[in-house]
Amino acid sequence: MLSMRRRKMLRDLWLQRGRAALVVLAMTLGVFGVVWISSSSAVLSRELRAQYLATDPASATIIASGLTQDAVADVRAMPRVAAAETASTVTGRVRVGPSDYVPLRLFSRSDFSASTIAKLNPQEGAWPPPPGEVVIERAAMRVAKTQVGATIELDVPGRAPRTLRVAGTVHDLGQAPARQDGLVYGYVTPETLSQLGYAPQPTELRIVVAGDRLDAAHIGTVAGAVADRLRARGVQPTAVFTPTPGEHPHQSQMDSLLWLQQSFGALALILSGLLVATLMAALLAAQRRQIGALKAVGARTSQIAGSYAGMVTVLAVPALLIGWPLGRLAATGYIEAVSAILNFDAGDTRLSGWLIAGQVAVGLAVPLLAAAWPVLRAARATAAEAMRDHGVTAPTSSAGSRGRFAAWLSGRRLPRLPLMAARNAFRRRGRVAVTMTALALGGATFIAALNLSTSLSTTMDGQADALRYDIGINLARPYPADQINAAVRGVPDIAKAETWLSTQVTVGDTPTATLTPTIYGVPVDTPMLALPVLSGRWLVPGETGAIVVSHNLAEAFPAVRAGSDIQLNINGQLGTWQVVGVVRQVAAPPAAWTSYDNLASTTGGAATTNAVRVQTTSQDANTLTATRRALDDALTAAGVDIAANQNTIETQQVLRDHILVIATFLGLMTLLSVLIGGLGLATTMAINVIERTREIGILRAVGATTATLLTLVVVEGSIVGALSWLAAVALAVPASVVFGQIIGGVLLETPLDFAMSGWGPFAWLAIVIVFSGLASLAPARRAAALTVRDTLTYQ
Amino acid sequence: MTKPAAAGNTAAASAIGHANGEVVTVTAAVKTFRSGTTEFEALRGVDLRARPGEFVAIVGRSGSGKSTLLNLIAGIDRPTSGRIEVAGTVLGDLNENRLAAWRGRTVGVVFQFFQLLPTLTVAENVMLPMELCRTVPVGQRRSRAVDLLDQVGVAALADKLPSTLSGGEQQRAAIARALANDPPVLVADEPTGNLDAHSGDTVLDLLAGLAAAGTCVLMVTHEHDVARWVNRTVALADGRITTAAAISPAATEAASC
Repeated sequence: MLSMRRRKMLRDLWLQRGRAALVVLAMTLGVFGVVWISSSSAVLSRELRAQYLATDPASATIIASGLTQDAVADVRAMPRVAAAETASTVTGRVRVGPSDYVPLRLFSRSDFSASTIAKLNPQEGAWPPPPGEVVIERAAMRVAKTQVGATIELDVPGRAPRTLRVAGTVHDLGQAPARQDGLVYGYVTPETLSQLGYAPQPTELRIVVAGDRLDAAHIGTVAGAVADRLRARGVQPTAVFTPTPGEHPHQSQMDSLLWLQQSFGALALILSGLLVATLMAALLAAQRRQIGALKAVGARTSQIAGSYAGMVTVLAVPALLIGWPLGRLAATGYIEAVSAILNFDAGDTRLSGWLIAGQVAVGLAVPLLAAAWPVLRAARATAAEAMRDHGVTAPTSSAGSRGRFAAWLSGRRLPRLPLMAARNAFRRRGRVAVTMTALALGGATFIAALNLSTSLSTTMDGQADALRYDIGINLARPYPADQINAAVRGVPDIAKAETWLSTQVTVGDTPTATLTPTIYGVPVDTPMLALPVLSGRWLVPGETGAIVVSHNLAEAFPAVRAGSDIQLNINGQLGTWQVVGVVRQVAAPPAAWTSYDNLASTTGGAATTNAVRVQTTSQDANTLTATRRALDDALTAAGVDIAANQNTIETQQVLRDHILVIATFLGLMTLLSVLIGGLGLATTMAINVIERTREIGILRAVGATTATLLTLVVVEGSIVGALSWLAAVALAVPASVVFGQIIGGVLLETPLDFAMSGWGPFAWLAIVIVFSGLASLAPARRAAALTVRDTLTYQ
Repeated sequence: MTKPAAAGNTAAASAIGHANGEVVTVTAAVKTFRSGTTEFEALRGVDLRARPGEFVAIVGRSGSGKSTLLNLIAGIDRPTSGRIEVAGTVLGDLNENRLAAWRGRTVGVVFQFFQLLPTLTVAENVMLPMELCRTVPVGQRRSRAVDLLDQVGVAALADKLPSTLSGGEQQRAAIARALANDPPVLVADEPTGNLDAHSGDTVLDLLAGLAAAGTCVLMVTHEHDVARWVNRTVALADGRITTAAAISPAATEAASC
């Protein structure tokens, strides 16, 4: 049998079912946000790591020439080496249009079927790659614009174009997603590689260490020992790469995104909690006299608080039952979307029992915590206080600055109605503060999302200012600069062209490396670059051994800064360079720049070039595409093998596509924030009207019309909305900076340049005023519908 | 009217009280209300005593302090200074929670506007104080509530919601609720103020019957013709007791003001 208090609680809920439904909605939104974010974060983070580790990624890759089977067998016999395999990686291009190509990376292993390192997962068609055919990475099929059974045309350096049949597809979790990088990954046997004109000998030795595979120091030691063993066998290692153990190439990006997601999840929870608190205050406001009556007949504070805590729990259960599956559903969709972007299969989307228990606990505990203050406040009221509530709430004090201001206002010839609305808005300052906080947080998210978009455009524009060439062509190998200049000269719409040198380097004299920056040899006074100098200076003519490094290179090696020396291993030769400046670059891997002459003398490539940068006469998309194609044709006709050829508009478009995912996510979170903020305001206005029922009767009695009452309540709501706008604009600035740092770091490898959206704050002002007006309309209409008799007999 | 048998409170109620037999002793009670910078002294040193079985009417103009005095006796409000002792308990010694529990067992409260909880049936309203104070075993609460409602003449309405009852019926149900835990003291704040003359008389009959059965009944009223029901009338003006008229011999000893 239900106790009287439980019966009362359940019947009160039924009586106020509209408001109770709003509380359930607020709780549901919170549960939805938490379950969505925590489930997707847990699954994405776990699955990416687990699946990556399941491929048995190489602990280290040693680039070496002259690898022999004997040397490899010798390495395999080393006790600290669990597995060792040879492989080759070569580059070329795939034709995807008459004069359109995408870069190709072809991988070969001595025996794909016996391979145990960085295992590949066959998807469709034949596996392993049949002789004379190619298997394409599954995410690269769309980039290559091909299908299984079709043929692709390969542009192989030094050879006539060759066609290969696409025998099947494979999933290679160790590669960055093909669509993101605009690359095609192909897999062929060493024999096929030879047929295509590449050297058949393997150039890489991949090892997996015995013992702790996640210990970077251990891996470094073993990789060094392997390099020494190879040298002893007459093999010459040129570079040793040791990626961060157990981390997918995009793990850090994923972690940053998850951090951002989790922040929004927490925000949704806070907003939901604020809304629950406001709504519970509304429910309790309507029951204040009943609480007084309960106290009068002997109810203790704990009994009243317990009843209302029970009410919160009763509401939290359906919120959990609705919000949890919806959040789970959203998480499943989100996991699918993100895993598709990152090219992995989130196979096991199950959640751990602990996580589910945590989600349920949060779903029940947060509403209870949120409601604790209004419930305790109401329950603690003495019987006299509760019974004394007459529906005419007076300001707590007429003294002080507020009182003086009110007195000053009352002496002015100002319209009374807006003044009254303004005063009403601040009669319950604590409640208004909660509502304004919810609205301001929603507004800050909205404005920050627009600021983010503006900052992104500003940063991209900055990149366009810094990289002043329109087309960048990388050649498969160095060619005489005269030959390239002659070929380029004949192409129309070219304003200026420069020939550079570039090569990959490793930093320091350690035997292992985690990244391979590119060093460019450029004319010191090149008009193609105007990279913003963060410290030090740009190159000056005539200096020897001076380099400028990118900010992300300096970040990767903290000892590297303007004025310091840096050791670079260029083509196996270690040399010391002086860093004269650090510059900022956008959406590019770590790099360094020196004078063309310096690099040419180091590499022995004087008067040669493998990188061409071109300024065109017009920057419209059609001209850029036509010129890029014409350059491709001219260089190919001159017998030049091209590794990559892209114009800046195409490059930027790829980046903007990536940002779409983030923008969509922010949009959804904004919608959630606006919804919760608006509900909060509507509720606050409803409580204000409930509390002032008798006051409204008095206004009615002294002649207030329906229009007057409507105006009074709507203006009051609009004042709260407008003030929350100021807070939202102020909050949006730090929020935008933080978002810009995270999203810039993930997408562009640099924090975004902060820029305020010109119309964002005004758009939010319009939204909040309209929303506030609408949110106030329902309580206003209810107030206007009350008769004098209704209100003055209000108990 | 026969006083309803309760869970052992009757014996206790008769035993508790002041050595002189008073069940209510108010000594030098002062109550000051503050509103912003303004202070209002509702009671200015009031002394009052009442015995079991007395039916005392507290009369006075609006703002004279009569409801405030009643609230102090019921433990609904606290005095700014002075001493309130009811049924052997000095109220100033109790915190809010203990005061609520004490009130539920010791004082029945009847309001002008009834204050029945709108979402509970009439019987459930009566059962509520029994549940809050755990004075009556669960299995006996319903029958006791119906008995009490029967004694006030509204047993037939036990399962109705308060909003379906007339004002007089609601007030009788409120009296039944006030008696739920068989309190030695019953306070009623203008119990007839919202009722027609016939209903008002019925309620006064009920209260007089309770007093006759041993309950100390203190009633605030505007009505001046309550003499035929009450033993004593105490008049307040500007927070002070101005007159105390003993109407029946039983009350003369109790009147101290």
